Amino acid sequence: MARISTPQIYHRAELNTENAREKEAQSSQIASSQKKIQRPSDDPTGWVAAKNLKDDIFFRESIAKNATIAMGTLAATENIFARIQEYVERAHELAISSASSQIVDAKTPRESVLAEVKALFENTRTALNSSFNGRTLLAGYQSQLPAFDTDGNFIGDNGRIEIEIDKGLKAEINISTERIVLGGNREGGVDIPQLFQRLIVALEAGDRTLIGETLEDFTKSVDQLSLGRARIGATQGEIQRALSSGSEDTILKKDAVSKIEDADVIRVFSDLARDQTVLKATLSTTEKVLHEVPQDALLK
Amino acid sequence: MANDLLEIGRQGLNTHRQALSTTSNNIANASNPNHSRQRVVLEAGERELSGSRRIGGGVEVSKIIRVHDHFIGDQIVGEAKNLGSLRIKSDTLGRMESFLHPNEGNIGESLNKFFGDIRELSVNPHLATTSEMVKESGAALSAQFRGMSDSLHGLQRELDTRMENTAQEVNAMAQDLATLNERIVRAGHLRQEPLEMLDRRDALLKQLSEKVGFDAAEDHQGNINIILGGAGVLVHGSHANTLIASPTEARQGKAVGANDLFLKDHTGAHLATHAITDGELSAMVHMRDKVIDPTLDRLDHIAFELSRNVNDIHKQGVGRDGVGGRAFFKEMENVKGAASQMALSPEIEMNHESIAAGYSASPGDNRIAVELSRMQTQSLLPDFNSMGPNPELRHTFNESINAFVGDIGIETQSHERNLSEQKAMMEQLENYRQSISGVSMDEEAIHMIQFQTAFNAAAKTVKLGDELLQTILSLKE
Repeated sequence: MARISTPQIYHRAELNTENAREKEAQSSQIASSQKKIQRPSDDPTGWVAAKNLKDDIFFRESIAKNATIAMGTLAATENIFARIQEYVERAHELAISSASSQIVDAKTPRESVLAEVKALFENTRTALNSSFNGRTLLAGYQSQLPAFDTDGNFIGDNGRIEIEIDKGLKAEINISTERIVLGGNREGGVDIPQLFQRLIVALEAGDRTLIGETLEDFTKSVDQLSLGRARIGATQGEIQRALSSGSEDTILKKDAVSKIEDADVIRVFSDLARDQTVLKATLSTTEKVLHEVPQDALLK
Repeated sequence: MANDLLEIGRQGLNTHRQALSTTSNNIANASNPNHSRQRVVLEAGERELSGSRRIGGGVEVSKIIRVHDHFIGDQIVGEAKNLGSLRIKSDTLGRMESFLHPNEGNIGESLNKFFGDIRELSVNPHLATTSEMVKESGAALSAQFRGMSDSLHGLQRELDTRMENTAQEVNAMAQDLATLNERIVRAGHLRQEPLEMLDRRDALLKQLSEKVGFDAAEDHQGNINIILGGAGVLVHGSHANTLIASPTEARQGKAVGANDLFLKDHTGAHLATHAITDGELSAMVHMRDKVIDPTLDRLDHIAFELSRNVNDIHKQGVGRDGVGGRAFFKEMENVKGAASQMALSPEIEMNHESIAAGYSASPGDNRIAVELSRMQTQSLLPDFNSMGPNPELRHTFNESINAFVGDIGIETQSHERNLSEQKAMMEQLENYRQSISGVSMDEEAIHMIQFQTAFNAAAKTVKLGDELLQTILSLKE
C-alpha cells in the first residue's frame, strides 16, 4: 500500500486544479475561435496544408478580380467593333446607292450622302478612340492617348496586352488594331478609317468609278470586324472557362481548409461543458480534501 | 532501586523529549518540499546488576535518521537535466513560432499582398495608385523580413544573456555545494548527523542538474564532487571552480560575439561549450547555434532568392520616367544576412514612378508586371533541408515560407510533447520520493501522541522513584 505524505496531498490538489483549469481554458479558446488550429504547432501538417490551400484561394480570388476587368475590357472592345460594323454597313449601303448615276448626278442627294458618310467616319473614329477603365482600348501600349487622329491615321502601337488568368496561363485582352482595323499589312486587308476617307474623296469628286472601287473593301471590312469579334468571343470563352474552373477549385479548397481548421461545433461545446464540469468537480473535491484533514482532530 | 527508577525515568524523559523535538521538526517542515522526514531510532539501555539478573537500563536515542531513498534521489537528479534542457528548448521554439507566425500580419500574408498588388499593376499599369501600392507592399514585405530576422537575432542575444546569468547561478550553487561538503565532512568528524545539510545538498544537486548536466561522485569522506563531462571538475570537496560565459570569435557553427562557456580552475580557463551536453546551458547553446542559426539561414535564403528573382525581371523593364535597368529591391551580394538587409532600392523608395511595369515607358505596357506576378506560382526556390539547398526539388515562395514555418511548428510540437512527458516523469519520481521521505501530518500527530504519552509515563516513573526515595529517607525518622 502506498504511503501518502502531506505535501503529496497538497501538491496533488494543486496539480489536479491546474490541469482542470488548463483543459477548460483550451476548450474555451477553441469554442470562442471555432478553430482547431490556433498556431502551427497545434497541427503542423494540417497548418501547412491549410496555409497552402489558402494561398491558392488568394491567388484564385486575385486572378478572378483581374479576369473580371479583362472581361469588361473585351466586352467594351466587342461593342466598339459592333458599332463600327453598323457604321461600315451603312456606309456600304450609301456607297452602293451612290455608285448609281442618279445619286451621283443629282447635287442635293450627293451632298446629303457625303454629309452622312462624313458623320459615319467621325462616329467610327470616336468609337475607335473609346476607352475603358481609363485606357484607350485600341491604342496598344499608348493607352493614355487617342488611337486615331482626326484624319483617321493610327497613332497608337501594336502592343499586346496580356494578363494572367490562371497558373501559367495568359490571355490577350486587347485585339490587334493592326490586324482588325488596319488590315494587318496583308493582301486583302482593309484599312477601315482610310476606306471611309476614300469614299469621302470619291463622293466629293462625284467619281462613280472610285466609289465603285470601295464596295468590295466595305464587304471585306465587315469580314475583318467579324473576325475581330470572333476572336474576342474566343478569348472571353477562355477567360470564362478559367474563371469557372477557378471558382469550382476555390469552393473545393475552402471546404478542405474548413475541414482542417474548423472545429466541430457540437463537439467543441460538448468538450467545453465536460471540461467545465470536471473543473467544478475538481475544485469541490480539492476543497473537501483540504478541509477534512484527520490530523486536525488528532492534534486538538 | 529508587535511583534505578530515577535514572530510567530520566532517560525516558530525555529520550521522548528528543523524539517529540524530532516530530515537531517534521511538522514544522511539512511544507518544505526538500525536507526528508526524520526518525529517532530508539535503543534499549543495558545495565548489569549483581548476580545473574540483567535489568533493563531504560531507553536511549541511538541515532536520528532521515528517511531517504538514494536511488530515487539520483534518478531525480539525472532526470532534472533533461527537464531543464527541454524547458529551454520548448520555450525558445514557442517564441520562434510566435515571431514567425504572429496573430496578425505574418510574412505569408505580406507576400500575397505584394504579388496581389503586382497583379493589380499588370491590369492597370497606367494608374499611379497601382504602382504606389506595389511600392508600399514591397516596403512592407521587406520590413517583415527584417523584423523577423531582428527578432531571431534578438532571441540569440537573449540566450547569450541567459547563459551569462545561468553561469553565475551555477557558480553560486557550486560555491554553496562546496561549503556544504565542508560542513558535512566536519560534522561527520564530530560524529554529528548533518541531516538538514544533506537535504539541502540533495536539493542543490537537483537545481544544479537542471542548469548544467553533470556526473556526481561521492568520496569516502562524504564529499559530493561534480564533474562537467569532458570540461573538468566544477566542485571538488570544499573547493568550487568557476563557469564563465564570454563572447568569442566566430567559428564553425557559432557567430562572432556569441558566448562560449569556459571552466576556470587553477590552471586557467578551458573551453567547455561542447563538453556540457545537458541541462539549460547546453540547451541554450544548442538553440542558439543549431536551431536559430539554421532558421536565419533559411530565412536569408528565401529573402535573397525573392529579391534576386524580382530584380532580374524588374531590371529588364523601364520605369514611367523612361529609365530602365533598375533593381526593385536593394541588391545583395551574399545570402548570409539577406533578410536583415532586405529593403526597396533607393530609386524605388524615392519615387514609385521608377517601378517598371513594362519593357517600355508606355503607360499600357504591363509585360514586366505580368512576369513578376507569374513568379508567385512558379517553383523557383530550391528545397531547403538540414544539408542546405537542394536544387533538384523546387517550391514556390509561398510554399517555402509555409514549409519553413511548419517545420518550426513540428519542432515546437515535438518538444512540447517531450517536455510534458518529462514533467510527468519528474512528477512521478517526486511523488515516489515524497511517499518515502515526505512528512505525513497524520503520522506525526500519532507519533506526537505516542511520545507525549511515553513522556508522561516517564515523568510518572520519576515521581514514583522520588516517592520511594522519600519513603526510604523517612524510615530513619
